[in-house]
Amino acid sequence: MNPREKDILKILQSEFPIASEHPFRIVAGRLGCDEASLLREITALKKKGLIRRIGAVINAPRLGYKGVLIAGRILKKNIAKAAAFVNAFPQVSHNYIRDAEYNLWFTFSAKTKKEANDFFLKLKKHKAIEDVMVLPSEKTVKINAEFEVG
Amino acid sequence: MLTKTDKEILRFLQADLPLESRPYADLAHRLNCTEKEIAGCIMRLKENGYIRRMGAILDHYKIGLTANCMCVWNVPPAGVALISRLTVKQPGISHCYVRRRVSGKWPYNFYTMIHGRSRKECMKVIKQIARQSGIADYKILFTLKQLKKISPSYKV
Repeated sequence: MNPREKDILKILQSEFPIASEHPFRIVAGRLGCDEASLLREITALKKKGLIRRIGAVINAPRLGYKGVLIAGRILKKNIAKAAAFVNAFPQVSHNYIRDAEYNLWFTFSAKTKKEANDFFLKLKKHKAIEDVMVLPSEKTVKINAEFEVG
Repeated sequence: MLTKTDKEILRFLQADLPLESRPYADLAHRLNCTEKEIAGCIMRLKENGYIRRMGAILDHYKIGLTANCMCVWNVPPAGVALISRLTVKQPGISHCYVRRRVSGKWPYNFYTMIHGRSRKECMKVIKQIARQSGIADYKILFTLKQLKKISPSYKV
């Protein structure tokens, strides 16, 4: 990242002009460039994969969704199989391999208890998964996925 | 209560904003309102807590935060307030939750997601939290591989 790219990313991430009907024109004004060239630069940042998306981060609990974190203990030779099974569910948004005994960690978000319970039962029955722990959150202390662009 | 327009806007903003001078023009046309009204609606949805934040969602790996871990802590009830205060003001920590323990298997109840340029940088954050909170029982789980990360599409 060059300094110019960092400036663009910082503003788009943390100071997006939400009140404006033409947000990119406002950002261009702050950066002292014209809007057309800014849009070209943003397109390039997306192509490079630095920007995943521009839009809203939804507060899922406000819409009635409940999320849980689930940890799976899986033998190394079965991990690809277990991961593919888990990833196929659209309610799973994050899934990571971690360096611990419980080595597969993923999030599941759904509106109904039934949906979640059906998923847990399937996990428990799955032959590639030795054990699962379901870890519902009791309190959200912090959510701020704005990253330091340094 | 969400109006029909609110719902349409929430659906629209879960996708990727068109990179155009007037990104709300098509939506406004479809909803038979002005672009200014759309912007006003977005502000209200944010004030009312439906939208957590609006802007660019970055790929933290691509911007250089390649070391990522979940550090879980065994915190007694009386210690939760202090470690919460410490993690909230720590920039290297993005998410933090209190979760139920699993008896006999998993004594940890406080979860922190930590991102750094190196494992060393993550360790520095963890050691600082440990020192300031006085919590010595913790476990670090570094990310070995990201298998899935999507912006989930929530039905509105």
